Amino acid sequence: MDTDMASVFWFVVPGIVVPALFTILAFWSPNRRQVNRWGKACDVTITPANEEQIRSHLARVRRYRSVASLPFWWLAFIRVVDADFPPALATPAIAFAAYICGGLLAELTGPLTRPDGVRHAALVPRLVRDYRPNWVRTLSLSLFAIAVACVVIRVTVVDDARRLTYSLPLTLALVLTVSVLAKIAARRIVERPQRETDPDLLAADEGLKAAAVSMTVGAELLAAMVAAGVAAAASVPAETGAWAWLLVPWMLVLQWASIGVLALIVRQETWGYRRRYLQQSVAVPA
Amino acid sequence: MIIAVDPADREPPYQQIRIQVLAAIAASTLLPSTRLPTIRQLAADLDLATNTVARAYRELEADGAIETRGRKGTFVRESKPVDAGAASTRQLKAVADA
Repeated sequence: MDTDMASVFWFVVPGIVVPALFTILAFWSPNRRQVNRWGKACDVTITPANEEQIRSHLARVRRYRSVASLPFWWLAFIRVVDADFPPALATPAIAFAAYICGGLLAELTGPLTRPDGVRHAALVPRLVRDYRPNWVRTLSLSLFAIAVACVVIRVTVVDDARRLTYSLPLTLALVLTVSVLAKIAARRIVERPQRETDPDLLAADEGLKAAAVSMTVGAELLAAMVAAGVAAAASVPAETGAWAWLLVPWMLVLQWASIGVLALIVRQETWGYRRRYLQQSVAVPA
Repeated sequence: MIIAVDPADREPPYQQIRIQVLAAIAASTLLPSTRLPTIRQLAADLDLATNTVARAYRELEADGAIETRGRKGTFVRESKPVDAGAASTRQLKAVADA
């Protein structure tokens, strides 16, 4: 255990103090600028009618995910003070997983308004594919196919046993589990009742649903990226020489792409979705 | 297309849904092969029991207005309702007059 001042500082500040500050800030979030940015990104015009609905929904998700991830951020920095801590647990991935789980919990357990008097509903089906572009699904499947191909190559071609560990099948099993759970969550989010009739409220609800579906699809994509990265690293015979020219750029691309996906999840934005209603007109399907 | 269900109406909710869907098909607001929402979705949106919406869909299917294509979902039938029944015709007239 390293208890010198510098080690303790680099463990306590980024692992405990900064996440705690972000969690406190989450209770005052989103501000007007963030709501407007969300509106622009999700193609929803913020009006006095829908601003409160958007703000309260975004705030609830932000609170849940910040609180859910708070107990795990220290794990990412623990090896600064304790070099013997198991490396498999000393990762920010656990905190990010908790972050996404917290967000999903907020999305799936939101309060429902019971309509008074006459009830309205659109006679238009809501499907998951309305809220996510097809290329995201294609990319996810392609990455998973690459991971499986790498595993096949690893098992059949590469006879170097030094990297044959249980982590690879475990990672792939984890990725499959995340994909299945993400699909179930996306369906549940899409099925969330839509009881508004005001076009502004309907458009806001559509944008919020699209952002929530993007979070689940993003989780699936992140899992596929992890699988593709782990499988590629395990299947190359060596990380030096000619193989490095293939592996290093591939890992860098995956790393930058993961940061992009995480940024989208953090900002509660979407990759685009099919507009089902026209805003600022009568509530008719687009 | 937006449908409305009034719990205070003397017409039961499933019948209100049925009448409005039949009226929309008759007025070509709902075109043939248009996909309808799932029973669960419509029930959740209208805050009704799934059995209520399921009954409306069953009656509409019996009227020949809609058809269920397995897991693909429920669609408006290609042909016009053939056996909407006298009661439905009366109700449609009432809707048209209103």
